[in-house]
Amino acid sequence: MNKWDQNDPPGALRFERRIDSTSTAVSVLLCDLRNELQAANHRAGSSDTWEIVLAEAINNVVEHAYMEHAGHPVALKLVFSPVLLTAEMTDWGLPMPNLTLPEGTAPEIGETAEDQPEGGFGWHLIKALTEQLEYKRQDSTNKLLFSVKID
Amino acid sequence: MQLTQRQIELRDIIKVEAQRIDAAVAVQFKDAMRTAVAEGTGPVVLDLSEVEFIDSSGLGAIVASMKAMPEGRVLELAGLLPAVDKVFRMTRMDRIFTLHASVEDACS
Repeated sequence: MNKWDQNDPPGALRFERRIDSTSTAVSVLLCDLRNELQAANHRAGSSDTWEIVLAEAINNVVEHAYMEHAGHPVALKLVFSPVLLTAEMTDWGLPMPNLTLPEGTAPEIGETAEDQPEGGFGWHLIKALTEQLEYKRQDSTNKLLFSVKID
Repeated sequence: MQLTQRQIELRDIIKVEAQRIDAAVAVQFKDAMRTAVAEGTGPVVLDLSEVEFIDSSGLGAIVASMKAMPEGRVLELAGLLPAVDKVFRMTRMDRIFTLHASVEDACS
């Protein structure tokens, strides 16, 4: 039995969403979730961490698994308890390289302006801000299971 | 992506009139910044006080804007709200920018 099948903890809000593989759809989803959490007076309505992790995780699918092609689904099951977001994200795109999560080390700071990194921050943020993080390749789908503290 | 611009003494203050700088608007942001800093010579202060959320693409766009500054102009940041400040600190990008609590601080 995985986390998703267990009964929701008291005070939990559950969302099941399926969005298109575009960065605009990700923005719209995140704003929508925040509005609903705030309307329900949920603690997550005033917390930032879950939104950073969700943004990075879903945009990673848009950019890499679907290579910026619109018209593909990203499915999300989210349970916001008062203290933890538990998330299951599914896509039907390309697998992770080597079927494993990237290391997620922070990009090196350069010595001059020209040397400064402009990318590579996403997985570092995800790894640093999640409590649990698991990737599975299953029947031509990618599944990312993760949890984030509601701080 | 709307940016508004004003001058305080020799500084150009560019304010981001949006609540998010994320993957959906990162390219627009970079283009708007390039235009906004093309004229003038003094330091540029980017006022982020309306921005409630930034992701790694938005962060990358700000770093790219700093790298694309015309010769001799510096880019400083002001008014970071908590979620934005967190992303800068966690990626250590707070070390490559001068951060000011507010535009007033940046100009004093």
